[in-house]
Amino acid sequence: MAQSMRIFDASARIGPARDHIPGAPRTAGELLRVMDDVGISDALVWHADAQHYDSEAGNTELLDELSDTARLYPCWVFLPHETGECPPPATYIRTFLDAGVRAARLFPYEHLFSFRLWNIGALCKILAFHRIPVFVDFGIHSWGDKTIDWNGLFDVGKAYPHLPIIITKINIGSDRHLLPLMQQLPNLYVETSYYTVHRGIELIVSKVGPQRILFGTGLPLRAPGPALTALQYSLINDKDKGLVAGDNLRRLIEEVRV
Amino acid sequence: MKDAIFSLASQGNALQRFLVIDAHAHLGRCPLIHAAYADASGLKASMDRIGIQTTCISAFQSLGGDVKKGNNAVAEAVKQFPGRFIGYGTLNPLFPDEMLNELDRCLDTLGLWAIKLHPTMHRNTSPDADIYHRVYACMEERRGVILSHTFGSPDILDKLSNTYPNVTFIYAHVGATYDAKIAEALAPLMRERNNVYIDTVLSVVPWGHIEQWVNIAGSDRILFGSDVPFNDNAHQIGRLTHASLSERDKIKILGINMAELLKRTGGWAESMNVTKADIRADRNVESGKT
Repeated sequence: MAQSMRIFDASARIGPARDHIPGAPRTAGELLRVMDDVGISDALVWHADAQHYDSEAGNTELLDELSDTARLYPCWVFLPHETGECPPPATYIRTFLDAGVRAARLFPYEHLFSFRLWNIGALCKILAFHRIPVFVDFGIHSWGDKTIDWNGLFDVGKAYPHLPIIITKINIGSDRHLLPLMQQLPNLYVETSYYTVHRGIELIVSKVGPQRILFGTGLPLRAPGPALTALQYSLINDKDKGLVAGDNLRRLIEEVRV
Repeated sequence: MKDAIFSLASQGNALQRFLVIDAHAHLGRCPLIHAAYADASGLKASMDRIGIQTTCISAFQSLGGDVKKGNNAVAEAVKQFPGRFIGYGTLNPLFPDEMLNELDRCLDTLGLWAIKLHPTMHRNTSPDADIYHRVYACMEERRGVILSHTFGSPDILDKLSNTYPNVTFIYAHVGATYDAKIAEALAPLMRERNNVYIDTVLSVVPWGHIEQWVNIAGSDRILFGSDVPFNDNAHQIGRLTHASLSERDKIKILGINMAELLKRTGGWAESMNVTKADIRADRNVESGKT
């Protein structure tokens, strides 16, 4: 069955990084070439420097690197602002929105803070007001990693029902937490780059519908093929597949209140 | 990359024209993770959507619990869908008095094809332990096949494959990520011996790793596997369909290598001589327990 979809990768990174794999795409141009090779239309990207060096500097570099392309959408990395490493959210968000950024990313595990109201509540309040989707990366690498803060997700999701929270790099060990949580939190989403549950996309659609699944590849650290075939071979109808492939993410971006 | 295999997979079309055999998979639920659609019907539906002709399964129950019941379930699945499943009988070295009897029962009574070992799950028993050598010796007489979650270091596999030249050793998972040291040690074994194989099973799918393996070891001894229902076979097959490999290498890894191994070791059943047209992807299937 032929599928013509505009695939929007919700999870890709550019920039030289300490975990770079030789031959993997590093620049915006290289990422676009890979996307063309495998049939991905657009990608939401963050900068490796924002993850591995300095969030504010990396976020700025990202805008420079994406200035020539409309197919790569910027995603900024945030830290709790109290240490001074990241501007206070009330002011930084204006810079963010004026620059055309429409998605945020947090690395609580890697950046040593907690996805809890007491730690990032001020940030979440601002993001929720503007309906800015926040991608949360809990440092999952393989199937058995247990670093996702499910209680934190529940607390933040309940406190800010208008905040779209996307768990990125969700793994096969997650379902027994994930499915109950998705049923209780209408604002909880998943991104598929690491989600290798057997017929997993079909499973989530059957439990909570297709609107809260975002396709992602995990480029450049992960080969894009598996995420693509998991989507293409999923036993869901074409309309739902289009939502997962990219229309859900496009909707979230369009719904950001500027 | 852009060959017929890529074109079919990138459109979600079943790989009807190509022989695809999943060399490493499981049956049934698993307490470690949510193994969805894990019964034989669920697996078959999953295979049909992709165009996987045959999947080689061992039972999760045998790995984690009752060995015999699990092996019985595998035999039932093979019987339920002739030609679609091939069975591994699992052995647990922690029951040494029963192990060799179970080996004989699996291969002779249940008609399963090969043996599955999981040293890590079974109290990290060394693949070089005496108890496992009893298995290797039996399989040497039988000219059998052993799939193991691990065979330890390349040195151990070198020793085993040399000591038991009539046993075919399939080293699970190691072909999924590229470690230069391991690859450099295993590649000569894979090139020079016809009884050493690796499979491509792992949830992690690093950029470029399968290409590096083929570059160093060639494609003759690499087998596609998915670990379904531990992983999604639709996810795992993307490691090959979208790889920067020649179509010939992809075809070999996806199924030809395994077909040759099956034929050489008595695993190719008459029922496997199905035409691909008989395997229709039924996109409305709701079968299988979640």
